[in-house]
Amino acid sequence: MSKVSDEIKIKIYNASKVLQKKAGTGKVSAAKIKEAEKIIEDNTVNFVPIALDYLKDLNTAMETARKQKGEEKDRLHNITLPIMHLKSTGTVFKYPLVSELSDITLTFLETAKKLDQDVLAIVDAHRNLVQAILATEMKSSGGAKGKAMKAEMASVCDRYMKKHNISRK
Amino acid sequence: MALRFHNLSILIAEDNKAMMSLLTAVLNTLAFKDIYKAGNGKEAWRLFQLHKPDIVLTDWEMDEITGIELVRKIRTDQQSVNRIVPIVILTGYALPERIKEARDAGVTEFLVKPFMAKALINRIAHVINKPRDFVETDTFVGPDRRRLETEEFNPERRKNRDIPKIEFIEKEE
Repeated sequence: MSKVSDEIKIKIYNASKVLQKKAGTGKVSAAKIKEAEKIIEDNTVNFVPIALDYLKDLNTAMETARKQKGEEKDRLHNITLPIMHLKSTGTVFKYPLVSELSDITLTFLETAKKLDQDVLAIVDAHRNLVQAILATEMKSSGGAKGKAMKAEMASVCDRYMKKHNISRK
Repeated sequence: MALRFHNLSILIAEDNKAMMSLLTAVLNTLAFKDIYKAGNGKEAWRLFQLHKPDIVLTDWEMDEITGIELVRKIRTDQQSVNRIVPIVILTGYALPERIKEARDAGVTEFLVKPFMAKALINRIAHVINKPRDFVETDTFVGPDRRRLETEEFNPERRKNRDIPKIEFIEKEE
């Protein structure tokens, strides 16, 4: 049987229709969406300096991690952050392989939640791959080479997870 | 019917300048009345309080005040000019526990980076077309989270759990 609890009080406000009064309801036209997509496709932002800044942050975070300064949680966060930024920006600025590799490493770091020498070696490998992609201006997904990079990255992360008995989320 | 954005304002909080330019250009195609731009969470809060935008679009990781802290501040600060404003968070984080963290902070919609223009526009359209009830408890302030719970709806669990005291409030601005 259901019972009423005195412990919790909930206030529920009806959904506000203010935005509908201002904007109406319905879809955004396909033409507008196409126009917006074209803006992203046609953007000419030079991703290399942006990515190099993130790699610089990653280097600093790794140096700090190797010296084991501060809390492990903070060290891990400082390493995760630039990788998350690389993932977020790569594809939009024409370097999808950077996003795809960073996605693999980011998921691994967020799942493993550890920062030992093996994890640092994996992050090191990730950094070297991204540096190589930037140095050779490997735009697009990188074809067979790109596929091999992603497979290797995923494999090394999987091996660590198996070794430490960590399950995927 | 098509949505008309010319009476709406939006606040973008994003610390990456190139990404901010791109987001602004994408949103310009919708012809918002005003687009307010903040390069960090602190500035976002200032602009939010000053302009009371209709929609907030925020990055997760920013200096001084993070996107998640900004969401909590908008939802719970007694000085907040609009606690029920729809908030879309943009982030590279994608694990379920991150989505839950954002949802528990009071985020309305979650969009994973790298994003497509269509996905961004659809999230914005969704908060207009499908506004959600707004819930306030001792531990949570934000849009009704049950939308997600219904996906794993379990009638037995619901029948057996405690029913809290619920006060329904009609609120129209």
